[in-house]
Amino acid sequence: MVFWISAILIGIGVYGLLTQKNLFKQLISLSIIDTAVNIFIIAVGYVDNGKAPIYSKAVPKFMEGAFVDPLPQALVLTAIVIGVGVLALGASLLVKVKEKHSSIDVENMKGVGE
Amino acid sequence: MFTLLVALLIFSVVNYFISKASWRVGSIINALIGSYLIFQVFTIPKGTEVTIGKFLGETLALQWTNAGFYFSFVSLLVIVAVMFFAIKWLDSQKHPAAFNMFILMVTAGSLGVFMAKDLITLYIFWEIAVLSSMLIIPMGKKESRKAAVVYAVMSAVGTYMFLYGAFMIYSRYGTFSMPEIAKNLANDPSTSFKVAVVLLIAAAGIAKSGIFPLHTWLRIAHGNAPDAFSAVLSGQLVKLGSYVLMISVAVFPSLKIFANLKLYSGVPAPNYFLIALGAASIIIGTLMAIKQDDMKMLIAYSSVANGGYILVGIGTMDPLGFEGGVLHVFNHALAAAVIFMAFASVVYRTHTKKISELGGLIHKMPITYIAYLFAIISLAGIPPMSGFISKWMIYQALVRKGMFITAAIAFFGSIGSFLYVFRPLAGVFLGQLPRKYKDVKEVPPIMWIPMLVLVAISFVMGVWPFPILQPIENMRADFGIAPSFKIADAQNWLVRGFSGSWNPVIVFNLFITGFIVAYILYTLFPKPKKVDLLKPHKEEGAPINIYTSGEFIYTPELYHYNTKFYAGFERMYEKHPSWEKLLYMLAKFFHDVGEWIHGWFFRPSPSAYTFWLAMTILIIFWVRW
Amino acid sequence: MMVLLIVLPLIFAFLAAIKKSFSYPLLVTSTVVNVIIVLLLKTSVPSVHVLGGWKPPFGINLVLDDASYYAVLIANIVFFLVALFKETVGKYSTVLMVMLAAVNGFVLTGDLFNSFVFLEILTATGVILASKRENYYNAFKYLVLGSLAGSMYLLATIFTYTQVGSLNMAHASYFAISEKAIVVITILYLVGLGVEAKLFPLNGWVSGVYGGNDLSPLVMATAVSFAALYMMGRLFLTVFGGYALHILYVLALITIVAGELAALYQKNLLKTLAYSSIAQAGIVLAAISKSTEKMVSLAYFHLTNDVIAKFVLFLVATFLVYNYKNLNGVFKKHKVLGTAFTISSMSLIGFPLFAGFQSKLRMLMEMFKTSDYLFPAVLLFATVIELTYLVRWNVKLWFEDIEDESEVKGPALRATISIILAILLVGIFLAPNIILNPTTKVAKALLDSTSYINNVIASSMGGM
Repeated sequence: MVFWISAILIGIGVYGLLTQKNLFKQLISLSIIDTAVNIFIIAVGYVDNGKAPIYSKAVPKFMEGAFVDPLPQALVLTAIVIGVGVLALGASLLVKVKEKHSSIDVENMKGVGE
Repeated sequence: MFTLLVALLIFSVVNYFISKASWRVGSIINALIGSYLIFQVFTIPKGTEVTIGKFLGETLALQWTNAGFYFSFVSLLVIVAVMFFAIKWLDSQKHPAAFNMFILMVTAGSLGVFMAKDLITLYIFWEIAVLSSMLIIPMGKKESRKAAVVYAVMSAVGTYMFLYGAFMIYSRYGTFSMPEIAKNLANDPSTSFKVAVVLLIAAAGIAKSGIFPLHTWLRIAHGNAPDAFSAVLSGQLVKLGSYVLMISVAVFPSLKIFANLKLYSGVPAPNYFLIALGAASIIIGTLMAIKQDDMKMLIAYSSVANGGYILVGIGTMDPLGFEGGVLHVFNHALAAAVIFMAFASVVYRTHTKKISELGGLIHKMPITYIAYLFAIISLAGIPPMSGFISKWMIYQALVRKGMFITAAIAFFGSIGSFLYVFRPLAGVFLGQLPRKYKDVKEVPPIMWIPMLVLVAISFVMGVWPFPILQPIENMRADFGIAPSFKIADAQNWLVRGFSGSWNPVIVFNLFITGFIVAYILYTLFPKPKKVDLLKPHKEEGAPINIYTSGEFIYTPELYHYNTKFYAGFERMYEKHPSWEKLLYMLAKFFHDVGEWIHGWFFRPSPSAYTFWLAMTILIIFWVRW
Repeated sequence: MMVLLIVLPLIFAFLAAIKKSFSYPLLVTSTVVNVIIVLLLKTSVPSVHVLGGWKPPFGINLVLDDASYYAVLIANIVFFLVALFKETVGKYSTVLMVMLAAVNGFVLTGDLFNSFVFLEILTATGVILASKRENYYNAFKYLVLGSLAGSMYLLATIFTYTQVGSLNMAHASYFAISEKAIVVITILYLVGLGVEAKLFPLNGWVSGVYGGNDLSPLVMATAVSFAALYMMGRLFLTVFGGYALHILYVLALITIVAGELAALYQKNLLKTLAYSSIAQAGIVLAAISKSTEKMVSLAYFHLTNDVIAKFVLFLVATFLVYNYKNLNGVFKKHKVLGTAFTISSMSLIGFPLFAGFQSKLRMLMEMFKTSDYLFPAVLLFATVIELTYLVRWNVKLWFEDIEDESEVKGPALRATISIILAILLVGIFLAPNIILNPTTKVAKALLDSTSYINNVIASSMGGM
């Protein structure tokens, strides 16, 4: 189920990248794809009825299927950070693009011949 | 031998710095080295073998053969003549130091090609020669930049086909050594492989010696290269191509290899194919030469035609044909070198190479004129110059083999060559002298001596051809082409053919007699007189002595009939299809494909990149699984 | 000690962020120290460094074997050479340091997710470099494509994780992955890494980034390109032992032809070189995809020659492009630069006397030995086109009549470095073994996944 959500989100992201003329919208689409991948990673590590991977009273020792996989969650944290970094970098680039080419719409940009 | 080549290569770089200090010293050193090399080639004993080293697990080696000796000698004659010529000529050039360096590299590369025992060594030295000559060509005028590119590309097409063929051979026989390959090829059962390989090897020769369909670079490269270097290009570098062609048909004994593929009077099919290309080159070269106004381009096309003669001769693998073809290498090398040097002298003094802008230089540059005259006599194949002998041999072979169409084409080419070599003669040296050239002087002796020496060699070899025929006979014996048949018979002063033999000395005497008779007649008849066209303008009542077609001519320029020299003849093929254009279209095609790829894949927006990324994933999934 | 290669530039980068004026000296210091460290590491090949005591396959480990050592060596030397050019580096010292850390980490890491992180850092720093000289739009395009590729790379990593249960490369190589999964994984990796490795048609960014300013091609076309192509070999040869290589082969051949044709069309010198670099990457990838020891060794041999030649070409070309309006005949004013440029381009074409000849001919010979007749044909065809445009440029730069009369003072450092590297190319022709011996080791290390696995596992047994 969650896999499908991430698949649909990737689809939306790709659709956005393909159709949008506005560079910022493309950047957002990229971010959507990032998010979709992150969701996918979380979904991979999910175990039905699994608890957070912390020893507690309910789960005092390791049991098969009791915990969700902690590793993907750790990975996603990193991936989110990277995603944010890329987003910020892209946004700052777009500010510059706007300054130089007077627009961030692919069709209205000036001086991008070649 | 190898040390010699390496020393040459290293010294070429040293000479660059010497020439930077004083290019004249550099060029004199060059000429001396060249002269030394000529003596050197005589001293190396035949059959000497030198191992260079291992490359890719194969031994690379040099071997001094009769063929190598002959080609090296001819090459050096031309190169050394040009080196001497350059001592003075270089002061009209912008890059004398680089010229000195590269011409020495060309020498080293060419000698290496002729010495190579295996295909990889040949390839390496071949590329050295191509590379260094490619860097000399753009030193010429504006158009020469493009010429260098065209030359490099055409040469590369041939060279890489050669390389592909060489590796095909290697993957089958596990050797690059030419004698081994010849043995293996002779015993190979697969006909298609042999045909493919031999033609691929020949491709390098086709490209280099300007055989149709890769002939178009000659016009632009010879026509625009620095003037004296055109002599090397046409006289020497093109002969590298003839050498490779000879390898592909004679060193790899085509008669044995294609014993089951004899097509027509004992000529194997691949040879026949090459002969057809040679014949096509004769036609194209001749017809195109006739209509050129640029004198260097004219001779460039004549080189195409003569390359065709060489290929036709060698391709027959008939004793006379082979010897004729190989001898023609010598004749054409000398004649073309002299012609280009004569043109270089003319350009040196007048700064133009358009025939229609020149004229009447016979009185100003008589020695150049003499050199040119004898060179074209040799080129056109008229006794007593040596050019006659090779053409005679080729005709003999063609007629004996019953190859009448090729023979007819060869005759046509010969007659055509009278037409085109006469055009610069009439246009540059005879006729009216344009007034702006009235102060033109003969070139200095250091420039005309090399020309005269080459002419003299060609002349002597025409009267007494046995010294030059003997190495060729040795070569023919090496390749096993009717080794018992003796063509050069020095004891009886005879050159033997199938339909009879002739004595070159008698032929020469006949010619001398004819010449003397003509000279006597010339002295008996009234002397020609000079008329001043401008006299009627200056003096009232002076008679107008000159008129053509009932029209009086007052201006000297109009009397110059060299534009549209053969108008009637040219009209016959005015709208001919141009192979050159076709090749440019091919180049344009690749260019357009590049533009298309560029526009579709490389330039576009992020959207397009995403699209291609998605497409790649989808296509891979679809195709593979 | 090898962890210093990553950590040191990073620390220096942070220090540089504190005090701007120190950034350039810090860059020089970090590259010099890095080169020294790499040279010192020579004795400790092969070794595995386990980070933080988390033994593989649980933690991250750095693997220094013959292959990664060679890649790290090349990359660090390139960065050192780039760092010498103060003018060119300009305000980008910090970025370069981060990038150096990323390249080293990308090459050394033995962990798939870790390599993803470094790949993203590489892309990000690459984007920043690319945006020099107001080349913003092209940088943005690279950003989009690069992070898309990053997503694919991440997806592939996660798929591997689901199959293997760890992110360790040795582990992934050790376990058999189901037929269906490996298809998806390899294709996603192919696409994800293909963007950095300039695989057609994922290489649209290349011309914009290489052709946009004077700094990015120097680093990206050499060090980063080498790292990406190293990773290609590591993943497809060592880790996934031969899956999807035929796809790589086909795509690589198309890459060669497409790159050369686009370069033929191109009128801009830097972009021409960028496309040529695409084509060369295609040659390397095609050779890698043959996955025999000789071919892989030759692939990295060729890559080394290409990296040296491209470094010189870009060094000269960026100087020319940004100092002269019209390039006709500029080499008459800069003879040394011109000589270096010519030698490098001849090496790229593969003329004898220069390094490219050795790698190209050997490659051809090897292909014929294994009776592959397609690759040599494509290679030779590509060479003809390559020769066309390189000769055209050489002739234009040397012989055309000068139109731009201004004369920029000859840059001594640039000239020295470019001519030294050009002479090195001649040296490699004379003694190819100085490069061939290491690359043979590279090929062995890449192809021998068993010893790779053993190395890593041994480290988990024996502690540090």
